[in-house]
Formats: sequence, C-alpha cells, structure tokens
Amino acid sequence: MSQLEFHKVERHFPVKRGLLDTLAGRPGISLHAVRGVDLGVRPGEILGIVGESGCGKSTLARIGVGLQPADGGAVIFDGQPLDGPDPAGRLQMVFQDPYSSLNPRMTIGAQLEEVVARYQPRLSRAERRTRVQGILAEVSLVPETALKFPHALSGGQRQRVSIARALCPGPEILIADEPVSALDASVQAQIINLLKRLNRDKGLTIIFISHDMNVVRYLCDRVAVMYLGEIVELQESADLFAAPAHPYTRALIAAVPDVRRRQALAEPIAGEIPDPFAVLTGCRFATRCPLVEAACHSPQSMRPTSPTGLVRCWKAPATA
Amino acid sequence: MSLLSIRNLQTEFQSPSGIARAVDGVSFDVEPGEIFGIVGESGCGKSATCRSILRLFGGAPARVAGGQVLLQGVGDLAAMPERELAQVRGRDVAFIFQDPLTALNPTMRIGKQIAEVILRHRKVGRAEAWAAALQLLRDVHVTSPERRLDAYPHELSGGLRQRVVIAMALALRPQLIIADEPTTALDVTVQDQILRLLRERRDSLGTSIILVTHDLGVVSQICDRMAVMYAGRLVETGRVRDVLDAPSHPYTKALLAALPGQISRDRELTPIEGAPPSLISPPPGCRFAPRCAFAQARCIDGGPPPLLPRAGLAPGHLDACVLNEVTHVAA
Amino acid sequence: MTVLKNLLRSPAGALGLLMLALTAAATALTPLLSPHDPFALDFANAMQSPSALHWFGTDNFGRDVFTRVMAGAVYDLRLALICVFGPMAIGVLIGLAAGYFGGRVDAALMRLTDVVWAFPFYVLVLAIVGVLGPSETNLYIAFFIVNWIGYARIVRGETLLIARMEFIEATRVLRYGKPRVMLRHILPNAITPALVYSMSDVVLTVQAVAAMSFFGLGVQPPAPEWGLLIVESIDFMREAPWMTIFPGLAIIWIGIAFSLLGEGLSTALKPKG
Repeated sequence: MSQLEFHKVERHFPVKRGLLDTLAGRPGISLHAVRGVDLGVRPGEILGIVGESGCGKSTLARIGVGLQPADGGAVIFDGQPLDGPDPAGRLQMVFQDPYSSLNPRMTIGAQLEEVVARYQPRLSRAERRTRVQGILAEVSLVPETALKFPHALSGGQRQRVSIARALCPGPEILIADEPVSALDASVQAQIINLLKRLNRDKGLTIIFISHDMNVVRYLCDRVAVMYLGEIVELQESADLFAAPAHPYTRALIAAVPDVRRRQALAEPIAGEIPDPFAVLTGCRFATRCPLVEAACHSPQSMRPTSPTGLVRCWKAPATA
Repeated sequence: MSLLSIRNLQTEFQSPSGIARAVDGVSFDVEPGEIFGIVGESGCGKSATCRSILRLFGGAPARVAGGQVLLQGVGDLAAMPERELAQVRGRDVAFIFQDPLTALNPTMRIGKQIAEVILRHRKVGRAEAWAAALQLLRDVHVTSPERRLDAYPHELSGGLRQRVVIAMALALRPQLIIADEPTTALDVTVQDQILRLLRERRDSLGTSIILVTHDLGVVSQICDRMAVMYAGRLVETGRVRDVLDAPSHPYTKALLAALPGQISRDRELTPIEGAPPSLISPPPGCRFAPRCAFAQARCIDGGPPPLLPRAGLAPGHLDACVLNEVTHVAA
Repeated sequence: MTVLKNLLRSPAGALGLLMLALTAAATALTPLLSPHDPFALDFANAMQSPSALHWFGTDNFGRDVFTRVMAGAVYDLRLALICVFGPMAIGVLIGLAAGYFGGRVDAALMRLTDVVWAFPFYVLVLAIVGVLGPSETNLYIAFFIVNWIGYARIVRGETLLIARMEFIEATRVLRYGKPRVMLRHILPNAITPALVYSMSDVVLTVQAVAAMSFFGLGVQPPAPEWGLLIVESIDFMREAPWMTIFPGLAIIWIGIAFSLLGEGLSTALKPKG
C-alpha cells in the first residue's frame, strides 16, 4: 500500500493583469488557493476534508490526484514526488456532478471497458467484459447497465458508474470530490454505504471532500478542516465533533442545522469569507474570530491538541 | 382565518413525453406570521407548488389546471387574470429564488433595483424610494449600506446578494414571502445567518413565510409548521416538532432514517431503494407504495389517500397513509 | 442506430429524408423512366413544351429537360457533398485542435481562421477559380480553402465547453492519450452543431455552385448542373419557361429537403438528460 503525503503544498493562480495595471506598474496578484498544506494520508483510512467555498479543498484534491501541479512543496506518493496522475492507476478520482462526469455518447459498458483495456491490456475482449460485469456488481448495478447510456440512469446510478470507473484500474487510494453533494438525501445514503463497504472490504483508502458536516462525521475516520487555503484543524472524527478545538471548526459545527432541535441560541459568526486576494499575515480567520487578539496576527502553525490531533490556533487547548 | 388557503391545487407541465402533473391535489393553509416549510426531494413538486401560487413559471410550459389559491383580503390567485396578479406580486406576496446571482439584474446597481420595486408600486418620489432602499439594507444587516447601494451584484458575495434579494422582497411589506430553496447555494455558515435573518424579519414584521427546501435540518431550524411532499402530493403535515420527532408517514420516516446526522458510525445508513414515480403516468393509489416497506394491497386500490388526523398524533398533525388508523374528529 | 430512429420520429426529419429518398429513387430510375440521353442534341424537337414524351419539355438544343434535371441532381449533390463534407472534416479537426490544446496552437489557428474569414466568401471563391480556371476540380479546391471556417469555429466553441467537463478530467486521471480523448470523447459530443450546420451548408453550397455557373466560373457546359441549366435558359425564358422553372424547382426542392433534415437532426442528436 503506497503512502500519499502532502508536504507544504502551495498552489497559486496568477490573475491576468489588464493593460492599465501593467502600465501603472501594479504588481501581479495571485489567488493563493492552497497555502502550506501538510497532510499525511494513512493507508486504509477514510480521511475527510471539509470547508466552505474558497477553502481550497477541491484544488487540494486535484493536486493530490495529479491533475494539477503543486506550485510549492510536493505531493509524495509511494516515495516519489507526484508528477501527474499515477501511470499505474493507483490514485483515482470520483467527481461531484453526476451529469457531466460520464460521456453522454458512450454506453456505460464501453466507457468501463475502455478503462480496463488501458490498464489491463492483455485481457481478451471476453475477459474485459467479465471484469466490467464484476465491477458493476461491486457497485450494486445490474449487468444490463452496461448497455445503457448515461441519460437513462438516475443521479445515484451515475455516481455508482463513476465509482466503478475509478475502480477499474484497481486503485489503492480514491479521492472523492463532493461525490454525494448533488444527490437527494435518500440516494446519498446508498453511495455513502457503498464507499464505506469498499473501504472496509477492499481496504480502499478514501479521501472524502465535502462541505456537509453530517456526512463527514458519519463516514470519515479523521477530518481535516480547511479555511482559505490552510488546514486549521486535523483530528479523529469523534474527537473533532465532540470537542472542536479551532474557533472556525466550532462555528462550522454550530451552523449545521440539526433535525432534532430548533436553532441553537449561540450567535453565529459574523461576516463572510473575506477577500481571498487579501494578503494577511497570521491567522486567516482572525477577521471573524470572536476570540481574536493581537497575537493572532503573527503566523500560526499547527500544534498538537489531543493525542493525535493538530490545530492551527495558539489559543486552542493543547496537550502536554 | 388563514392568510393563505390552498385548496386542491393542480399544476401541469407539458413535456415531450406527455403531461406531467407536478402538483396533484395539494391543500394546506398558512397562518398569519408563521413560517411554513415544504420539504421533499428533487422532482416532488415543492418548487412547482410555490411557483403556482404566483403563477411564476419562468416561461416553462406549465399551467395551473385546477384548485384555488385564496389569499386573505385579495381573493383567489389561481383564477385571477394576469394583470391583477402582476399587482399582487411584490405587493402582497413576494418571491425569493434559489440563486441570488440570477435573481438580480447584473447590469443595474443594487440601490436602483431595490428602489425600482418601491417606485413601481407606490407613489413616492425618487429620494424617498432611495432612502427606503437604504433602510431596507440596514434591516437586513448589510454592512456599509450606503456603499452597497452603488454596487453591482457581481461585486457582492453570495450571502450579501441573498440579503439584497430579501430586502427587495420586503420592500413593499408583503403579507407573505415565498422562498424557494433560498439557502441551498450558500455556505452553511452563511445559511445560518440568512435563516436567522428570515426569522428575525418575521418576528418584527409579522410576515408569513413559505420556505421550500430539501433539507430537513433547515425546516427544523426556523419553521413552525411543515408539509412533506412526494410525487406531487402532500403525505404529512403538522407542527415541525410533531412531524420531525414523531413522524407518522412511512416516507417521512424513511427520509429521516436515511440521514447520516444521528446514526452511529458502525451502523449502515438506510437509503430508500428505488426511485420516485413518473409524474406523467403515476401509479394508482398511494404513490410511495412501490417503495414502501409496509405497503399492502389496499395502498394501491382506490384514489389518492387523503391527509387525515390519525390515532396517536398531536392536534394538527395529519398524514396520508391509509394504514394508519383515522381519528374520528368532528368535521 | 438510435439517431436514425429519432430522426424518423420528428416530422421534419422524416419529411426531409423522404424527399431525399424520392430524389435518389428518381435519379436512379431515370434510365428506366426516360429513354432520352441528357446530352443528345435533337434540333428537330427543340423548345417543346412538357408532354407525355418529354415530361419537362425540351430545351433549345432539343435535349430532354427532365433527363437533364435528373442527371443534374447527381452533379449538384456530388458537388454539394464534397464541397461541404470535405471542408467540414478539415474545419472539425482544426476546431478540435484549437479548443483542446489552447494557448499558442489555438491562437495560431484562430488567426488563420480570421485571415480567411476576412475575405467575403464569394470574392475569395471567385478569385481562386478565376486564377485557376473554371472547372469542377478547381471549384472543389476553392471550397476546400474557404468553406472550413464555420466548422472550425463551431467545433472550437463546443470543444472549449466539453474540455471542462468532469468526464474529460476523468480521462486525464486515467491518462488516456490525447488523440483518443480528442477523437473518441470530445469529437462525438462536439460535432452535433457542426452536423446540423452542414445541412444548411449543403443548401447554401448548391446555391453557390449555381451562382458560380452564372459567372461562368463553375461547372462548364454541357454538364447538366442546375445552375448552368438556369443560366442557359435565360435567353429563352419567354418562349420556353419550363427550361428555367424545372431546374429552379429542383434547387428549391433540395434546399427544403436538407433544411428539414437539418431540423430533424437537431432534435434527433440531442442527448436527453
């Protein structure tokens, strides 16, 4: 089982400058989508990455699978720096939108057989078909699905096909970018169960990107919370939800509506995600944090907060 | 006397494969000053229902095919000619759409858009309308409101845009606001703020709100009463705490059971197998029967199961499951 | 295929196909239906009005108009199809490359497109044929140089949209080769508007070819190309209007057939959902 690690990964998107900016001599600005992320993925775990818009989780996912390069730092996979998607197909991805993640003009069977042909070229046509049938069964789809086009399938079925496609090369790590966000709650449960089963029965490591705290709490073993490009907290799932250490994590959890009760009385955090172009030293949550002090404006680093947890806040409870 | 009474509403959509009855005999009341939630999954007809109230179909081939939409002090909106209904929109009933980016005119400044709503319905001068717009932005807690009046929609964040949309909805002090998935496109922390804002505005102004959503948590957060919708029909209605804490229709129960929020990590989630039925040729009797764990023969005999008070339920809590014993209440 | 089925299901597509089928049948059966040779001169029977012997009458050389119009069908259709689908192939590949590779490749190809686009269509075609000399082959050359631009633009636009879709991202994770992605995944999805456009292009090209004949720069006599038939009939319009009417009707007929087919294709090719 290969290790996947993020070492101080950075990603900037330079913003194209207009002619006036160039003439006025204004310096180029970049969007720092990911800043200094250190993260080690444990083999066989389901690691959740949560955050709201602009936190960089989707970008981080694409860097992790090799679709985008790291501008700073590196992703180490199987001891080597990652330079594009893994040729052996051990790192795979499942996407968010069931409606654009499959080729509308190819049958399911054709799309899956294409993957098998690419990664197991020695198989005969019949053996390929058999393997595709086997993978369809693994994601609980009937064999006839192979003959259908994507438009004949429901959103939930399409996501299963996406997962099947990712399973064809026989991956070790699956990065799932909001795989259930576009599905109804009753269908989400099917896909979540499937992912859990794949993790448990095949030892598939899963990195699960989501904005939905309820799903993450249920599915993930560990959770990393991201805010404006940084990881602000990394803990075992149970610990994170029982005792969130970072003020942003606390606010995030408090904001999630609970079916069992009416709204909590605690005041929500004020304001919104600030301008991602703003150059801030120190804690990027400081502009909205109820506990902010002068010391918060110096650069913050991750500190241990529980036997296995880390938090990027000097005020959080620390372990010895 | 209810503020809004919907009686046996039916709405049809034209599609290449036939006519879809998106709303098939829906009846419910909304009281003055209450927040009423309509919840259901995609395709259940909740959006079609609330659009039918104002006949706002956005050019889609849809029409209200039957039923009444009785608004207190105004009349039956379903039967009203378009010209009269146009006056009702904005003045008596306002609508908040899901995507604030497309609900606002991208080429017009915010202040002008809000002022325009006021100027169109009330005989006031421009200065007065502008001052009213400023006050409305303050009411929805927009920071630096004077500056925002001059801003264009794309310069604002999603949450701010939704606040502006709410301000516009409140501009004429309508009796009723219909909000169709107003927070679905927003981050959860911003959603929390917007939902609180809606509740606060209701508390100050006494405006009723119909809140359409797929998220049971949102309903739990701010709604007073709610209705659960499936395949064009209501299957359960009642006070929010009654329905969510003691659900009585199998669909509501299944929906709650599928949520990961409360399940322990070592148990599997229980999805609802199958898919919602076609609205062009729906199954007879109860439409949830094909997917229901408790279905029996009498579930598919006969016509649409009516919403009735059932034994053991709190007052005002109704469901449409024929297997539940009816409480004999004096009509 | 499902496309054919869908095509037949739409009234426009079905009618268009029917009209084309009738044309093809009539053309194929002409030797049986009419014993006349389209090129045989017969001055004795010149300028005869339509009759049982000569369904469309005869022209000033005594040639049977019906046979010539039918023979012209083969001519005009061959011309139109080569002048449309040849440039279409070129334009589609250019558009795919521009949209997929982006950057300098896109910039270079689009500048090339702009240069060709800058010249009015007819001016350029006339100039090329004028320089090379009027003949069928040179007509093809002119159209191949000029007619690919619309397809390049259309397909480039579609490619830009499709390249952003998640199933294309998936091909990158799976490390599919670029040719495979472009031809197997992007092309089938990008080509629909180009196909629909090609139908109206056929109509326009038939008319353009006929117009070329007006300038004497197209097909040369005695070829029975419809435009040429009309040109040759102008002097005799008063005495023998049938010489003009029937080729004209033929052009209209083909135009309607392909327009309907295009409309039907547009509906049939939509991937539902």
